[in-house]
Amino acid sequence: MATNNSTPRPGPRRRSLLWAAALVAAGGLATALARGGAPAEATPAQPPSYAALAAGGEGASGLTIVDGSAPRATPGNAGPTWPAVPPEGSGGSWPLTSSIRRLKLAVPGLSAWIARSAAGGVCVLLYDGKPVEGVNAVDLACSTPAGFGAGASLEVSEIPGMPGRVIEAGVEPDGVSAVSTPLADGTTAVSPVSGNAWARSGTEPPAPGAEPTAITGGWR
Amino acid sequence: MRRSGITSLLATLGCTLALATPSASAVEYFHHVGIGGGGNAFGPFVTVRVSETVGYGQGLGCAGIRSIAGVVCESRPGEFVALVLGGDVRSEPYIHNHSTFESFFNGYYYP
Repeated sequence: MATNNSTPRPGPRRRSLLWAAALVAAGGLATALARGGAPAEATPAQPPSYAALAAGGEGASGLTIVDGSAPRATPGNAGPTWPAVPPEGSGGSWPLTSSIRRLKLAVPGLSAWIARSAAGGVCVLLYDGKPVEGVNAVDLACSTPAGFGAGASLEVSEIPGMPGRVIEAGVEPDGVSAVSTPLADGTTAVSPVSGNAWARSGTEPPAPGAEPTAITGGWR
Repeated sequence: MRRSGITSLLATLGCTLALATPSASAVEYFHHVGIGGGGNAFGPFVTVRVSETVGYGQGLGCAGIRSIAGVVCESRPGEFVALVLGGDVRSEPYIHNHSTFESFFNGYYYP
């Protein structure tokens, strides 16, 4: 089954245009209100759905934020880095640097962070701790704004120096206690969620096309 | 005095040029490329720091940089995935279709 929807997901440049359109619409609304339009009913502020996002303690510790205007970093073993400013044309899907917070994972050797995307989604950043040829790589996945409440997750495979290794990691909103992933061998992996974070490192990949499913309440 | 003035001018000019240098822009190396389930579409051999994949429809897309890092895949259709390196490398950004069916993707890299 080929899926060739006529509406693509917004690409970097398209996302920029969408942001601009949203700003214009917001400006128009503000103008209308200033001219005497009836204000909309006040909606109570929603509490943050991710406690880890609100936590300010460790910030982005373990992830060195590098200035985009500085000379390009040369490859090295100094640990993972993250650009202070998103690449030009990347649109609103990238994480807001100021919102990046360290997560605590149950899987040793992995480091992860949670962030909000500029567009309104939630993001997970993962570092597997193994530089290749002196270069550190950070994996990123961000939800759509509409998917903010459903978490974000990623899967990393074909990792140089780790043959057969499959790593999954993600963030889930408050109240999610575990995540289940159907695996290719027919079994199911259940990963506990702690501090909004979960991770799995193994040799069995997820079943093709399978998506992680959030579990609330008891799962043992 | 004149020499120091010229030096200062050159230093100021250099700093101005350095700050005015725009950050790297996205290069779309594939647009709406169809990839069979489990297949790859490799981009050009370039200087690359970030590889990004955006999908269409229900396909699960992945972003990779050949031989440099693992390939990172979205777990749910609609997510945005990218692979961000700590330094520039010479390699090939690529798209992997993690779905079991043919899907369509855009691929971007940032030099």
